[in-house]
Amino acid sequence: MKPAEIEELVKKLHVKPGDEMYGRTLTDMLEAQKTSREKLAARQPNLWRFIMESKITRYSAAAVVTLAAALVLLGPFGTSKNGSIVWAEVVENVSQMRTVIHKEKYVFWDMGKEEPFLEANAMKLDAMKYASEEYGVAEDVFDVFGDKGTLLAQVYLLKETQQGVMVAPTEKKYGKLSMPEDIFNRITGILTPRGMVEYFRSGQYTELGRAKFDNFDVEGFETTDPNVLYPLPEPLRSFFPVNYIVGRIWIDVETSLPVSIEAEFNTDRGLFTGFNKLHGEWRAYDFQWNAELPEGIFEPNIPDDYTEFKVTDLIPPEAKAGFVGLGIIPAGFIFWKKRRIKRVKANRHE
Amino acid sequence: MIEGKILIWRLKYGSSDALQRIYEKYVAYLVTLATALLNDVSAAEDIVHDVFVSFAQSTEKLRLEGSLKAYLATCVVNRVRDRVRTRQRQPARLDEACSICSTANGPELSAVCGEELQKLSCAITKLPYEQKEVIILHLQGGLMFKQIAESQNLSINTVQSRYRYALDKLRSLLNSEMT
Repeated sequence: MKPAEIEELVKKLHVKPGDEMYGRTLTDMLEAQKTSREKLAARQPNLWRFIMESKITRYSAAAVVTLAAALVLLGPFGTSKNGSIVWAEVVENVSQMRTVIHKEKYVFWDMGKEEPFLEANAMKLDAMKYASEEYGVAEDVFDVFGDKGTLLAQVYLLKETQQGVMVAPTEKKYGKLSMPEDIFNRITGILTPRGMVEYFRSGQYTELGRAKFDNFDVEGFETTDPNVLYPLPEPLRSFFPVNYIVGRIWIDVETSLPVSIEAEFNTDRGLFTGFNKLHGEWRAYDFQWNAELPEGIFEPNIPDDYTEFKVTDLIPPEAKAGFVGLGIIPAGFIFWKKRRIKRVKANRHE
Repeated sequence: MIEGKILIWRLKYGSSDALQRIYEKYVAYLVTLATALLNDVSAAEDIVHDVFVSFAQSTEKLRLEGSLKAYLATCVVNRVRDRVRTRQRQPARLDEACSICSTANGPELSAVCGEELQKLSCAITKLPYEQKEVIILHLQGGLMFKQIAESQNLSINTVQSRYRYALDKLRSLLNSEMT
């Protein structure tokens, strides 16, 4: 026999697994996979719990919701006539306002734990927002749970320096972020009276009819289209994946100005939801149009003993380990690196 | 190889379909490999069972650099080697000789095992284990010498030498039986 013939013969060896072994292995293997998944889930840090434990991270998560809600709620309404409300009048009236002060409330909790009034299950914040066409936006955020009424954060979007500033008294930290003009204008645009006008100009809605609201005669409008309500690009959307949202606005029949803006939403699991499914409610109310703003409201007060925080400070160490385990950080890093290498190569060939 | 990587990717996200697909694709290959190395179908099936169960438990930690097929083959070979070491410390069993084709495993196996294959399997049992491993992994397992060398922490020259010695010995054993 020649070596080549022996080689061919060895390749012909074949053993078919027995039926008993085949079935038993398949069952045991799938069971092992299931058990392993359950064990891993039990070991995985509950990122939502970490977010809930740190007040400043609570605010960061809440800020995402607020921003999304601001985008959401001011977007969907057109300029046509609806019932007794003439939208052109609303637009005109709002655009006349140089300042506005209003209150906000938001609460959200894990779906399935429908007890939003227990601190363990929910996050509940109150905020006071000051907006000025001239200076920008300032917001004071208060913790409703825990030390009731504690000032959790002050957030500023300052037109003069085109900076976002956040001061966190409970953490004795502050952060500053300079923004390109277009991004700054987009963010402040959403939050100021003029920005509201811009967003009032397009979109679909349904009429809710007349109601009595905080002693105002109002007409309500509602929209549920998530693509209109939540106009974020896909990568950002997956961080806070809203899968259902309803937005409502209530307009005072007498003054043609908003009296209340509100939203309810459900999310899938995402980075900023702590990988939990959340239900959230947000409401902006008690609008004081053209109000005189408190002196110095747009001047951040940062005491000397406060230290600057970085974005990564918002993520507790245990949660960071969780992110690495989930492959989020390396995946992003690799993508960035690959693109960079590609760019360098392309430049070399030019 | 790409299909293997896709299956692994799906597996990491907890897909039991992907796990089942991997199992169906490689189970016969791995049982053949283990049987050829051990000359014992039952022991080979036990090893393949343990490899798949262990694989299912550790998919989240899996960092696959080469092909999935080579990875699973290496897992089987490592366990076979442990089994062989244990066996070497025990007295030899008389009924183990030439068992690859003589072990009852249903009509399919009998049909596959012609006379030549039976002789070959007997000849393979007479090879030193290190040589047997190389020849089976290369010809049956479809692994390249480089992959075998990496999985066994050997130089490629050593692997190639073992392969040549094994082939020479098989030729001599088979030719002497024919004359």
